[in-house]
Amino acid sequence: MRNFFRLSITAVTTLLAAASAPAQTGGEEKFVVVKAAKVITVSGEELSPGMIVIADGKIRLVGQNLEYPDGATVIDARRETVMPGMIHPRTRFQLPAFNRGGVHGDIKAGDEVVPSQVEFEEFLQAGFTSVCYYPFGSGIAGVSSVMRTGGPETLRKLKDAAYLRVDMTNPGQDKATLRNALKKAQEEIDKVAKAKEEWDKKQKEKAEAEKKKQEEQQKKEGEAPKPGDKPQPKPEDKPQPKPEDKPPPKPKADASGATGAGDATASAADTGAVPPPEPKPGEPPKEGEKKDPEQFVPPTMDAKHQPLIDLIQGKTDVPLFIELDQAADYLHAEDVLKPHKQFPRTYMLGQRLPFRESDYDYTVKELGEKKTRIVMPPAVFYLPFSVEQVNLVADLTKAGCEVALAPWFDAPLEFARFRDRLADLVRAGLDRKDAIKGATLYAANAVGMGSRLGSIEKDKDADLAFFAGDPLNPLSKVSRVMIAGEIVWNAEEKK
Amino acid sequence: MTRCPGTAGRMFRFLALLTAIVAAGSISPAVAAAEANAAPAPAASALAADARIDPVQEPPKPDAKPAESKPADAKPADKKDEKKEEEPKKDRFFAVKGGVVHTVSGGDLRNVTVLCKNGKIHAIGAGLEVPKDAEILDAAGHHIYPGLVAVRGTGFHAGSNPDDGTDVFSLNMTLGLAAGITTVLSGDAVAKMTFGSVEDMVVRKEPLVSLNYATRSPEQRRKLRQSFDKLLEHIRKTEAYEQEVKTNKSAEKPDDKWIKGENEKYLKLLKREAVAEIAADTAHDLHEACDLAGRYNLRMVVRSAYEGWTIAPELARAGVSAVVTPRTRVDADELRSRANGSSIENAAILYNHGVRLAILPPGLSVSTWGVVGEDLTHFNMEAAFAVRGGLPQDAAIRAMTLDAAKVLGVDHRVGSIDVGKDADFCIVDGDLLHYMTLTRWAVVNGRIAFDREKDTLLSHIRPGGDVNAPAPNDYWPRRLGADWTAEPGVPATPAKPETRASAP
Repeated sequence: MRNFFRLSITAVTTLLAAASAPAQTGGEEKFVVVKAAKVITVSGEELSPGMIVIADGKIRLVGQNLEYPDGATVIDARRETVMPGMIHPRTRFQLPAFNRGGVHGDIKAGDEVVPSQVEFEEFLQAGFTSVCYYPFGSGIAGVSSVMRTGGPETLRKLKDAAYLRVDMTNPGQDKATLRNALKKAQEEIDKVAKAKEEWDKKQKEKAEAEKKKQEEQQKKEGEAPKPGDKPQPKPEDKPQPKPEDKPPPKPKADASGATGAGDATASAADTGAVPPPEPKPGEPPKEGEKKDPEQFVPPTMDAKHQPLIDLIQGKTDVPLFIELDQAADYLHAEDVLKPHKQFPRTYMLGQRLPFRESDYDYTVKELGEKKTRIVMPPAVFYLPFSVEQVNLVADLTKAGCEVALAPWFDAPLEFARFRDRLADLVRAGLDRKDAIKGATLYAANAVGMGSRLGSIEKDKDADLAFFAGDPLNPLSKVSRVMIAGEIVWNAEEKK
Repeated sequence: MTRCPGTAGRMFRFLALLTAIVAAGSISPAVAAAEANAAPAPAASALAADARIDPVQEPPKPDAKPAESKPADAKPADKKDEKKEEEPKKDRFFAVKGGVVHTVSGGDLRNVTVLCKNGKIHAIGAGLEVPKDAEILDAAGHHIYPGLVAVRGTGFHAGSNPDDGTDVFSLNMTLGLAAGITTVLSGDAVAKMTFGSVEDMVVRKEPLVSLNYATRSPEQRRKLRQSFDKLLEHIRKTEAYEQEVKTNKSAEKPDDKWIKGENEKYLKLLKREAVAEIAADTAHDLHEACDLAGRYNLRMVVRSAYEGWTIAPELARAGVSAVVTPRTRVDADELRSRANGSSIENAAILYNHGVRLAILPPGLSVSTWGVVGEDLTHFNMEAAFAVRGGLPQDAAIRAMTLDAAKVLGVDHRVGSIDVGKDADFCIVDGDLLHYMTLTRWAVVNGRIAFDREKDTLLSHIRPGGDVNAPAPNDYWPRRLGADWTAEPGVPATPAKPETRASAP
């Protein structure tokens, strides 16, 4: 083994020019090379032994026998297994709990997190490199934020809006909250659409008046006016028609005073409360007539409903993250979202009953047919009122779902136990690959970071966890954690 | 089924006729409709025989006219149906084949297929053409009854808003379905046991207006009567105003701002738009209730009328329906000069006098604990008590189905197996009133809501208590490690649950 590496290194040095070519053009690149006994790439095959070449915090090459530049830092992990750092898709570790109901789409959980106040080391030593903090409260609590658990401060923040958290654990109330929120969002869209409609109408009438006036002038003077004569319609310049001229026809009695853009929007906002019968919700109203010198200023929308508005307009891919307690909650959620089939959504299968009882079994087929994205605790559940166990994670995966796994609750002990629970699932019939994907790639997908995190692939972030043995062996501890190509936690140093 | 003695013999007279009609594809719920449409007679003057008036006029009846060659897709006006039509949806067909169909409204039909479309009964007949994509339930050897209707039940639906809060996978719902119940008055709404679905759950909201008319509180009763008098005065004034306004435009409209809350409900009662519900058990209470119904011409249901048998003619004359609990036992007070106390013949006597009956057990929940057999878990046994007291079998079954639906004013939707009604069935493996009979399937809105062989708690119970009967085909719920994706019908090997200690 050692000979093999030495050989490859010597071979590489001769070919350095090719590998370091980009370094010369784009300034100094920082290379880090990880040589490991085993690399679990997640997306591809497991490499044993394996090698990862990292450039500037991004994975450049993955393989067994790779070339790297001379000055690269080599991390010798030849007794360790390397895996992508795990991702906690839903946490509120060391953040306060409080009561908040209703719709709060403008709240970002990331704003609540003060890195110095949270012991991120607890995550690191369990092998988590990224976590997604969620906003607290029932109803529509806000959007979750993804952040790294270590590394330089500048690289900490990954994503402000990972998903919009929707509580459906008490459908008797939550259903109405979501239903009303969707209604309100649609009303906001209609409000803007109506304002735009009125503005368009006004512009048209204005243009017609202009034309008429020009024609009159033409008749008077008997020669064609220059096309560039069009007045610049600044609000102040607006009363262009001279008092002796025929005033432009007023569009309507209510909008009689509207001459400038500001007034137009004001009047639109006044009338915007009543939604028109025929809205055009899909069209973003801001980009209307570009050629027109006057810009349409849409009335402000309710920031609390903005994520839902964006979803209805198809402007965003920030999904709904719907938290459930039991199988019936899923049906209730789907019932409310029936008119919005296009919404991307993730379901969090929580549980209310004690003793790990769960009746999600009833919905496995439907969830699978829809290829639903799921986040759930890694556990073998009991059927309600029975001692029969079901491996829901395995069943859901088999049915076609993408199941991301999240620690059951926010406690360091639970973080540490997370891999044991994965092992439990594997023992109960879950495919080993799916268990590891559930903790890495699928979790990354669940928080919308699948393109950057979750697997060891070219161009992904070098956020890695090193284990002393197999990650699913309860005896193998986390030895090192790398974030953006830097070792940020080392078990040796902590001794 | 050898255990099934069949229902009343007079039903068979209809059999040949009905089968003939059905075969021609022109079944109509004529029997039910004729009865349901009987004009409400003035209660106080009605004779006993005519006194079985329909308690509710408000909900529209299914189309009663004879259908054309293909049965009309009778759709009672329903808000939910309109919603559905917005998006074109594939028709959902469901058919029950084999078995004896007990229509309750008509008679018993053998060798027929009940075809359901989108949760409604679409056609009943022999040799029906069943669409290819229909879900077919082979109920050969079983008895198909309309789903049972409990005029009160607790623990099945969410209290305030069943549509939004109900746990449709709850154990209670399963146990209710296992008792054959598909419709129940939960809280303020008549709702269905739509296990596994949140669609089409609520049938009707606020079917009954509860009146507190206790004999022990004369003051309260006086107040109630005063409210009624005031409202009657208001009704008279309004009618006078309506007449006057035709000639005199400046006529003053009587003030109706004070009519809200209780008064609004009372007004509905006085206009016979709603049904009053009074808890009255002793003869005295019942007499008072009848008096109230007669004086104000109310439509009324009395609950737990255990002394009803002593004043049955009065109840019948007042056109009052009764919710009875046949097993109630209250010893007679020998010191009284009149007949008193409970009687097992109560239901039979009331029935013979023409009082509409609905049956309820003493307990209104379902439970796996407590006194066995005294709650809705053994709903059918309560009716069997009434049969023990002389009530005809078909009347006992009606008291759990069609008549119960009429008491709640939902007989246009549930209560019998008729074209146009909801596809709610309770399919049992014997005579409904036999104590060994178990529900094999319960169908709600054309979906199998309960299948005993696939139930966690009840699948081990073998038909007829035969311990040697073969195990269910599909071992369910799928145990840990069992491959549930396997083809249906292939007996899944009962997977030995892996213990946590047996690591690979």
